[in-house]
Amino acid sequence: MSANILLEVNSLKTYFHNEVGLVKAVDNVSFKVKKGETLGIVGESGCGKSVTSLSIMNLVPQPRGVIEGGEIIYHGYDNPLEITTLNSQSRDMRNIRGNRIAMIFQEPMTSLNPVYTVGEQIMESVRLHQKRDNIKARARAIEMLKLVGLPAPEQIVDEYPHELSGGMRQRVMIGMALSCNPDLLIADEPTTALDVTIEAQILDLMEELQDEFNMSIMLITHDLEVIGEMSERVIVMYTGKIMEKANIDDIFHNSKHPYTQGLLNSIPQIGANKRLIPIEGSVPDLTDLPSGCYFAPRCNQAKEICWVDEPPEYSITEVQKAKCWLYDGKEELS
Amino acid sequence: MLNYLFRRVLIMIPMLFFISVFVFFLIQLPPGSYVESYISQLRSQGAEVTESQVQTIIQRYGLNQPFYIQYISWVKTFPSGHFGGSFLYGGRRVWDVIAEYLGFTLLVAFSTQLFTIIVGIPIGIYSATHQYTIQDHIVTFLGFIGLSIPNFLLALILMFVGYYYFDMGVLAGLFSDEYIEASWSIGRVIDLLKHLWIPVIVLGTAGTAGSIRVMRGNLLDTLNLQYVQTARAKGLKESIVVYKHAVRNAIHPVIMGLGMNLPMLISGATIVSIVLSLPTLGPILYNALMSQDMYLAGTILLFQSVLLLIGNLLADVALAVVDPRIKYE
Amino acid sequence: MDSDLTYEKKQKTSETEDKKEKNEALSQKKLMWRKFKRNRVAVLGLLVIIFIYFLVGFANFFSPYPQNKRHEYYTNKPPHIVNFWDENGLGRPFIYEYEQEYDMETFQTTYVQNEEKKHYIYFFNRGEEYNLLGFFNTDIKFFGLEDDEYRIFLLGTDRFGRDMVSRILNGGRISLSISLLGVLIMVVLGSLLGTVSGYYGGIIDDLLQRVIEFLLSFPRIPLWMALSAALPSDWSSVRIYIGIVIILGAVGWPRLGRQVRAIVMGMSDDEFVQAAKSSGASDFYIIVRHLIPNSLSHIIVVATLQVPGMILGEASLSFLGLGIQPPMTSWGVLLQEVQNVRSLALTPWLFLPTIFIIISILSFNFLGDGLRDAADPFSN
Repeated sequence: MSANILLEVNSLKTYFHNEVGLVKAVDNVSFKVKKGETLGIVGESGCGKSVTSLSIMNLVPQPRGVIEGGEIIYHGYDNPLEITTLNSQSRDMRNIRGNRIAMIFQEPMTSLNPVYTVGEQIMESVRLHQKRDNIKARARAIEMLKLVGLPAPEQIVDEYPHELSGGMRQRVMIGMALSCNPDLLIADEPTTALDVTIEAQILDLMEELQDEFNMSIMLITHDLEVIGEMSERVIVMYTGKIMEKANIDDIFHNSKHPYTQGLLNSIPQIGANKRLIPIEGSVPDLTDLPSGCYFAPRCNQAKEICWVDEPPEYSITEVQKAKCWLYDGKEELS
Repeated sequence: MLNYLFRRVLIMIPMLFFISVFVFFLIQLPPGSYVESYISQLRSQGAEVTESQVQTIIQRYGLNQPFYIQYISWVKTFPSGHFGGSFLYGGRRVWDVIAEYLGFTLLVAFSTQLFTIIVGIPIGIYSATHQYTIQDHIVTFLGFIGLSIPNFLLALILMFVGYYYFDMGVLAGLFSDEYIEASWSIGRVIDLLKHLWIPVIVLGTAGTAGSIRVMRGNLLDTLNLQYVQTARAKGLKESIVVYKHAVRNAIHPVIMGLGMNLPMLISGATIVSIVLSLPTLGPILYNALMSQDMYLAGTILLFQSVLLLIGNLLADVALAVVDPRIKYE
Repeated sequence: MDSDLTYEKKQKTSETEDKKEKNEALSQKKLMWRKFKRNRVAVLGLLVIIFIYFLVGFANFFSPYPQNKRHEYYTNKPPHIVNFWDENGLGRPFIYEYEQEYDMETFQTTYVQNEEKKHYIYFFNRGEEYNLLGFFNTDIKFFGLEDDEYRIFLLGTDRFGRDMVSRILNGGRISLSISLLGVLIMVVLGSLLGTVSGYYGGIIDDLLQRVIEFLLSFPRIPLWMALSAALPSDWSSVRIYIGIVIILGAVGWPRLGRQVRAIVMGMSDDEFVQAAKSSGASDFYIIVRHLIPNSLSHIIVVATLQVPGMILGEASLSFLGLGIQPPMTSWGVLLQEVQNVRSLALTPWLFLPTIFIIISILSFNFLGDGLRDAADPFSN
C-alpha cells in the first residue's frame, strides 16, 4: 500500500433491516482517501453517501443498520487498523472518532446541543482526547473559534448555540471538529443549509484550514458545484453504488457515465446559454430495486443488457472508472 | 426575567379576585345554610334550640347579610391570616384548621413527587435506551395500566387485596392507633413511614407512569437529533452521550409536568385521602362541603387554586432555567 | 416535432400524477383506518367498548331481575357457578342451590353447593315486564330460571338481596351514558368556543382565553365536588343525573378549547382558508365547512381520551355521595359498598364493579391511543 493513503474502503456493504424489507444503503463500495486530498462524494439523497460516512465513523444506527461486509482500513497509525472489526463503543473506536476522524453535519441549526455553551461543547472534545484540564481546554476552544474566523471568540465561547447564526454555528462545528487535529474531516453536506454567500465563506475556510492542519477532507454533497470548487477527485454514487470515479476535470469535461452526464446537464452554468435537462424519473425505491443496472430506468442510453445484468466497473483510465455497459470492451487500460 | 415574573404575579391578582368571588359564590350555592343543618342536627339529638339561639348564631356569622357584605367581611380577614371562622370546628379560625392538616398534606404530596422522580425518570431512560426489547415492552405496558387506573380505585383495590389476601388489616391513616394522638418520637416517625408508602404508591402510580411515558418518548425523539450524533462523533462514551447530551434535553417536559403535578397532587389526593382516611386537607374539604361550612370549604378551594397558579408559574420558571433558549420578556 | 412529442409526454405524466394525488387524498381516511387496524390493542379496546355498551344498553334484557328488587331470602349470596356437565354429559347449563353453613368455631357463614338441588338455566324466557330502550314493553329476558322456586345470581347479591348482575349492568348504563353525554357537552363547547376564539382573534379571543385560564386555575376534583355539593338534595335522581352531566362537561371543555384554538389559529393562515375568504365565503361557512372538519380528527381523539376522565368523575362523585342518588344506580354508587373493607371481606363479589370501571377506562384509553396514532401522519 502506498504510503500516502489515509483511508481505504474495500467492498463496503452497509444494509438496513427495516420493517419494509432489506435496504442495501451502501452496496459494494470501494475507494481510497489520500493524505491531504479532498475527495468529493456526490449523489442525490438516498444514494448512500451519508451512510458511507457513518460507516467510517462506525456509527451506523443500531440495531437496524449493519455493516454486512467489506473493510474500512485506517492508515493513520503506524499499523493499519480495520474499523469494521471494532465494536462501535470500544475504546479504540472512540479514540479515532473526533480525534483522528472528525465529522461535521448538514444542519448547523441542530448539530449543536442547545443547552450547553459553544465553548463547553468544544472543550468536551479537547478534554477527552487531549487530556487537557479545563483552563487549557478553554484556551484551546477560544483559539479554535478565532481560527475559524469568529469575531470576539472570548465572548462567543460562553454563548449558547441559539445566539449564533447558521453560518457562525457551522464555523463552530468546524472549530470543534478540528480542535483535536484530525487526519480526516468528513463533511456531510456542510453548506447545504446555508446561504450562498455564507457557503462560499465556509468552503474557503475549510480549504484554508485543510492546508494548515494538513488533513484530508471527505466532502459529501449533492451539489456538483461545491465539489468542483473543493475536490481533486470525485466519486459519483447512485442507489448505494459507485457509478463513476474520476478526477475533477474529467468529471466536468469528460464524464463517462450517463448518470454523471445527467447530473451535469441539470445544473445551470453561468454564461452558458444552455437548456437545463433534468434526469427523468426519480430515484427508485431502495427496497424494490430493478434488476440489471439501477440507473437503467432513467437512463437515455440504456441498452437491452442494462435491464438484465448489473454492469461491472470499467477502467477508462487509471483513475477514471465507470460502472456502465457502454464501456464494455472499450477499456483503455487493463 | 424578573420583569416577566413581576408581570405574571401582577396578572395573578385580578385572577385571584375572580377566583375568590367564584369560590364564595360556589359555596353559597347550596340551598339552606350551615345553621339550618346544624339546628336540625341538634334537634334530632333531642336538644332544645330556641329561636333566639338561632338568631345569635346567624348574627355571629353574619348569615343574614347580603352576598357582597358577607364576601367583603370574608376577604377582610385575609390580611390577618384569619380566613373566617369554621362552623364545624366550633368557630376556630379557618387558617388554624388548615394549618393543622397542611403538614401531612404537603408530606404526602412531596413524598409522592419524590417517588415519581426516583422511579419514573430512570425507568423511562432505561426503556428508551432499550427500545423494542422485552423489558421495554413490559415497562410500556405496565405504564399504560398504571396510567389508566384511577388512584382512588387503586386505593380501594390495595385495601381490599391487603385485607383479603395478605391479612394486613385495614390499610388506612398515616399512623397506627397508638401513635395517632402521641407526641413526636422516633417510634412515631417509623410508624409514619410504615404507613406512608401506601398513599405514596396509590398517588404516585399514575404520575410515575406518566413520567416514564414522557421521558421515554422524549428521549427517543432526542436520541434521533443531530447534536446527539455530533456528540457520538466526538468519541464520547454512549453513557455520556445519553445522559449529558440527550437526557438533559429530553427531561424538560418531565420537569414541567412534575412542577404542574405538585398542586394537582394536593387537590387530586382529595378522594384518595378520604378512602385511606389520611389526616390531610381532602377529607376536611369533603366534610366542609357536606355540612356547608362555607368559610372552611371556600378557603381550601381558594388555597388549592392559588397552589395551582403558583405551580404553573414555577413550572414556567423551571423551564426557563433548564432551557437557555427560553427567554421571557 | 420533437418538442411537441416531449410536451405530450409531459402532459401525460402530469395527468397520471394528478390521478395519483387524488387517490392519495381519497385514501386518507382509509389510510388512517388501516393504520388503526394494525394496532391490535386499540382494536381490542374498540371491541370491548362495543361489547360493554351492548350489554349495558340492553341491561334490562340481560339481567334476570329488576335492579332494585330485594330478594329477601337471598341476601349476601355468592355468585352462582354455572355447570354444563352432569351425569348425562354436556347439556343445558344449570346451577346448584347454595346452602348456608355456620361454622361454630369461627362464627362465619359459608356457602356450600347442594348437588342434590339442580336448577336449569333457560334462555329467552319470561321475567318481569320492563321497557326496552324506551320503545316497547316486554318481559323476555336473556336468561333465567324457569320457575320462582329458586333464583339465579351470577354475580351474587348485596346485603339487601339485590342481584349484582342487574345492578352492575344498570349502573353501567348510567355511568357510561353520563360520560358520553359529558364528553358531548365538552366537545360542543370546546370545539365551538375554541374555533371562534382562534378564528376571530382580537377581543373575543382575549376574553375567551381569560375565561379558559380562569376555569383552568381550579383544581378539577375539588371543583367537581363543590359543584355537585351545590346540587339541591331534594332534586329527583334524573335532575341530579343531568346536573352531573353538565358539571362534568362544563369543567372539562377549557383544555379542549385551548387545543382547538391552537389548531384553528394554525389553519387560519392556510391557503384553503384564505382562498375561501377571498371567494367571499361567510365566517360561518368557513368555520363549519373548513375549520371544524379539519380539526375533527384531533377532536375525536381528545374526546375519546376524555371519556375515562368522565367515567372516573361520575364514579368519584357518586362514591362520595355527591353524585347519582338512589334509587338510581351507577358504578360509583356501587363503589360505596367497596369502601367498607371489613364487610367486603365476607362478600368479595361486591368488588366486581371496580373491575368493570377499570376495563372500561382501559378500553377507552387503548382506543384513544390507537386513534391518536392513526390520526398522526408522522407516526409509524
